[in-house]
Amino acid sequence: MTEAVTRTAASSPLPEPLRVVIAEDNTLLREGLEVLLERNGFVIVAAVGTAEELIAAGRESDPDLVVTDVRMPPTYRSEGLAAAVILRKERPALPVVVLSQYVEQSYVAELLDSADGAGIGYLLKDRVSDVNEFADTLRRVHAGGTAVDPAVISQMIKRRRDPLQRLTAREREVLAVMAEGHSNSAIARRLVISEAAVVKHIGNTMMKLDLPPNDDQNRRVAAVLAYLRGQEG
Amino acid sequence: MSRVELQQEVLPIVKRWRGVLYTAAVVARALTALGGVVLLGRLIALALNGSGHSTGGVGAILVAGLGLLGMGLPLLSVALARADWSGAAALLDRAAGGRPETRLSEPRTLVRPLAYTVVMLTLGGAVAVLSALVGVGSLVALVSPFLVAIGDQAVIGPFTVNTVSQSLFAAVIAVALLAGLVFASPAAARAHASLVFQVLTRPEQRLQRDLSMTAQSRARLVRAFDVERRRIESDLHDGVQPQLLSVSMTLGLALAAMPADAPGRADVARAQSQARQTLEALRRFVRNIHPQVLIDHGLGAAVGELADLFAIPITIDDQLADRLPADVETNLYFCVAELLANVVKHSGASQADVILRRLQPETELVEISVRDDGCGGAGTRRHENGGLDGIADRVAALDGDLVIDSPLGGPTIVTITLGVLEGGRR
Repeated sequence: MTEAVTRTAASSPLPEPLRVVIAEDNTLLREGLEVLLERNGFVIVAAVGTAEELIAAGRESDPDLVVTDVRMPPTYRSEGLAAAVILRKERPALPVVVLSQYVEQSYVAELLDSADGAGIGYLLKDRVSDVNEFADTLRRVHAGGTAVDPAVISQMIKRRRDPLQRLTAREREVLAVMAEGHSNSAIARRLVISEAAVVKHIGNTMMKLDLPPNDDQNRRVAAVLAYLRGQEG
Repeated sequence: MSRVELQQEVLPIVKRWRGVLYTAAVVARALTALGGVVLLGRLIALALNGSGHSTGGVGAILVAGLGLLGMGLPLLSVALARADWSGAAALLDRAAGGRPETRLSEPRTLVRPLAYTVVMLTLGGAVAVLSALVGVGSLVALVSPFLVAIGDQAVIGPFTVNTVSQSLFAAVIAVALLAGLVFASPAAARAHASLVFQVLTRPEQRLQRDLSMTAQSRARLVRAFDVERRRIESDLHDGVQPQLLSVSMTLGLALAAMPADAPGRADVARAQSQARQTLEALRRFVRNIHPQVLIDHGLGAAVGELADLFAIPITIDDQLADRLPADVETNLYFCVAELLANVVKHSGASQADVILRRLQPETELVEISVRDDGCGGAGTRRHENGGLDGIADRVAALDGDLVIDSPLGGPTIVTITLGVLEGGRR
């Protein structure tokens, strides 16, 4: 445990621990998330079970990051998402990570439309079991990054079949990891290829998708996502 | 088993005091009707006796009397049939909607009430008079001990009761008879009510009623089935999935805390990946039961997400501007899911299209069509037909139309049309 803490602290040295609000109606998962985040050096300022409490906690405790479930009481539809959108309207830069049980593109669209993609994460709940990876993702989103679950990207790729058919398997992999908000070097590490190869793949992908090359990481993810969701409806 | 239940549904068990009240009411009506007929007969007889001198006068009065009877009897029949029908319907909890039409201006509709009245005046009248006599006699016998005690006497038909022992004997018999009447009443009430339905309802009216009940129960079954699906989905979603995820999360915490070369680390990692695979399998399963996105975002979005799961490209053309009623959405979703599964399983198609649209805004007709470029022949191979039968059942339960256009060699176009005017459906 100590090793995990020191390792994360070493990989992303932060002057102060991030103050997080957790919203999850399932007690078991909420407590699990609390333990997970505390062990990874986050400070839980509030852990709530309803969207109303989330909005109240978001206003009162002025957190650095909000982690919320999609489905919450009372109607178990997208209350968590709606609450996050409300909080972001009041504080546009507030980083929000939404955890979802399923890949639902309708929710992704709703989320990205409300946020321009910066400081937004949309992850499947399964990702939390990769503890360190999950903590890293939260820090990336806090730093203004965009993190969309690879499963969502691969589903979008499937849907946007026509132009994306031209992408090679490797280019799709790179695209999926890039959408998680990783830098070129991180992509290279993840896929065990050279950074030069990553740059080449991204260049080809951008060209095939008619997106001008761009160095800014948030914007390149946002651009890819905008492209992917832009022509679906 | 189901036959028995059906029988019970048509003729429920009659509660004792309800049966007594009903029987009493029927007896009272039968006696009133008898009284009415006797009165009519008396009027004719009086007229006959009063002017027995001229034959022409007798004929005229006879004609007038029969005319009176001819008018009176149908009136009586209609009144009696209506009263008894309402009573029987109330007793057996049948909807009053099936009430038989009786119009004095239309002789055809009077045949059944007349036949019923004749039966009630003869057979029913005899039973009514007999039971009324028994009832009144029993009541008198019941009070006879008091009458004897105050020095009076009680006369019950041919019997005269004037000693204490006689009166007590009579009271005991009266109690037994009254108890017998009370116990027999439910059976008598049931028998009478079923007689009312048998005689007064035309056979086609009975068939129509059975048919509408069957259609309603089929629609209810389909709805109950969907409600149950949603319950199972939410139980799994809110109960089992979070638990499994929590296990996976705890294993993740354990892994993060373990040094890379710790003994058993590989086992923990394997356990975590097994938990994840189970979670994934469960997720697919839950999704097939009832997708949440259908509730949140409607039919178009749900069909869109569904299409992503299939291996062949499926384009969705969603022209439904607003949401449909929830049970219609659910039914159509499962129809489309089944149709797409059929396309992938049987047609060998390389692509499919789903079009959702409203046909005419004013009639609220919705048309869903699924077309594929496969080999056609859908519905011709019996053993592959289970899915299509299920769709046909669902569509029929919503009073919709299912058209399958699938020539051998393809392409196949399956079209579902149904009205969705909320509340005004059916």
